[in-house]
Amino acid sequence: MRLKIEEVLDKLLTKIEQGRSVEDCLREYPEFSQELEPILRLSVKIKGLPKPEPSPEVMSAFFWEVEKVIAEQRAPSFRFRLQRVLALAPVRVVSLILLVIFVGWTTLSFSARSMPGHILYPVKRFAEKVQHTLTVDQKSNAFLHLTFADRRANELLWAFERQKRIHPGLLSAMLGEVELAIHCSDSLPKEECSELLGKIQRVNQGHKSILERIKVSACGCDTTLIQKAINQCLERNCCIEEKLNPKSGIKQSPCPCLKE
Amino acid sequence: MTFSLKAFNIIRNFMPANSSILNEELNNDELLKVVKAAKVGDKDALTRLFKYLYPKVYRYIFYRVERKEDAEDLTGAVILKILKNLPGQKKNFKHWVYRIASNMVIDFYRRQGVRKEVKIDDLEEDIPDEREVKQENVEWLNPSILKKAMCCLTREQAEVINLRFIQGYSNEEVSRIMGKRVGAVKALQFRALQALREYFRKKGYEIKD
Repeated sequence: MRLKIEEVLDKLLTKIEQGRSVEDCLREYPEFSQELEPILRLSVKIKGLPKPEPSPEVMSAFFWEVEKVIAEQRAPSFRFRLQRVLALAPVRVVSLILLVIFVGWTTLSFSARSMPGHILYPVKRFAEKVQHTLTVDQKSNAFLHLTFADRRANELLWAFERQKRIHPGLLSAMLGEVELAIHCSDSLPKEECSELLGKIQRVNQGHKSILERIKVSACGCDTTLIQKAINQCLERNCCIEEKLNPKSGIKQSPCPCLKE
Repeated sequence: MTFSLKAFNIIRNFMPANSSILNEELNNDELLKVVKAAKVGDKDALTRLFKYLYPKVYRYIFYRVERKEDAEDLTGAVILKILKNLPGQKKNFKHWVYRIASNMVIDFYRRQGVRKEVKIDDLEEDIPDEREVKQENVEWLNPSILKKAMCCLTREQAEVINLRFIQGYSNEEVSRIMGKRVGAVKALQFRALQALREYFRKKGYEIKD
């Protein structure tokens, strides 16, 4: 097979690199010698040219610049590894879940102490609704309503101390929670019912005391509303009394306060 | 590229005015090890890599730009880019380095709006007269004349001359760097040398030993 001239040139260049002379190499390929001789001599000349060297001053000065990059390079290598770990899907999912849990838990903790008008107050009320929905047991539900009723009573007092006005929404919510607790007691066995009613009575009396305290310093426009709520507490107390002691003969069911 | 005078003076006081101490030769195995260590932030490896790359990149760029100052600035920019992007580097290292250098030279000329990389306007003046050569025994071929003569080559041919004869890589290495087959590199090498020889012949120079 006839050799291509570029193949021959490459072979001869390799031989020249190994130390053989141009004439010596060309003798092996006389058919190419006329064409390759000037090319080989030129390549030898190019190879023998002095190598352009960068200015030592510029290179030294630039080396200082590079030192800074090298110093930065060490830190990113850790960051780079961390990024690679975070790039893994399961790690990302778990991290996201943990983040959501942390943010949720923190928000709920802060919202538990919030009062009406605060940015987190709606979160508090929403969390109560969720808690109520997730509680299936009637007794626990009743106790939950009493807890919520106590919270509304505290909020009512807090709002009154600030604005010197009664908050109708909170008052209604407070009374409503107690009513729901009484409803829950209906489906409970007798012993558990008595225990619950006893607690409801204590909470109800507590609310009545709060309302009476508020009434003393409330403005005239709120007095009717407060009085109405106090009366409701009194009627409710009678109903509970009747439920606890059916033979006392104070009043016969159905309790009118529960119908409202 | 600007450096503060203070920093420059400090370094000049500490560094001998000899670039050989900033020159490091590495064989392929050593280079692999150094690159691997440099990727994870090993300071010594990064320093060795800098010393190895700087002169090579400079020589490569020197033959592609007209002014020495531009070659120095571009070399600095290329080295910084290499060191910054090193952790993400994959595949053939030398190929990656020369691609960065080549692309930055192209960008440099694109920014300047110059089509041809090196001007050949004053080539006639640079080549010594034949009579002068004979009388004064001066070497008519020097790096700056070769740089200008390389204008008559295509970019690929010039790249082969640069990598093969100036950088001193083998055909196999050049083929890996350029991403071409060895046969194609041999053909480019032949055509490039033939074009250069023809160019000098037209200028009246018989290439003799």
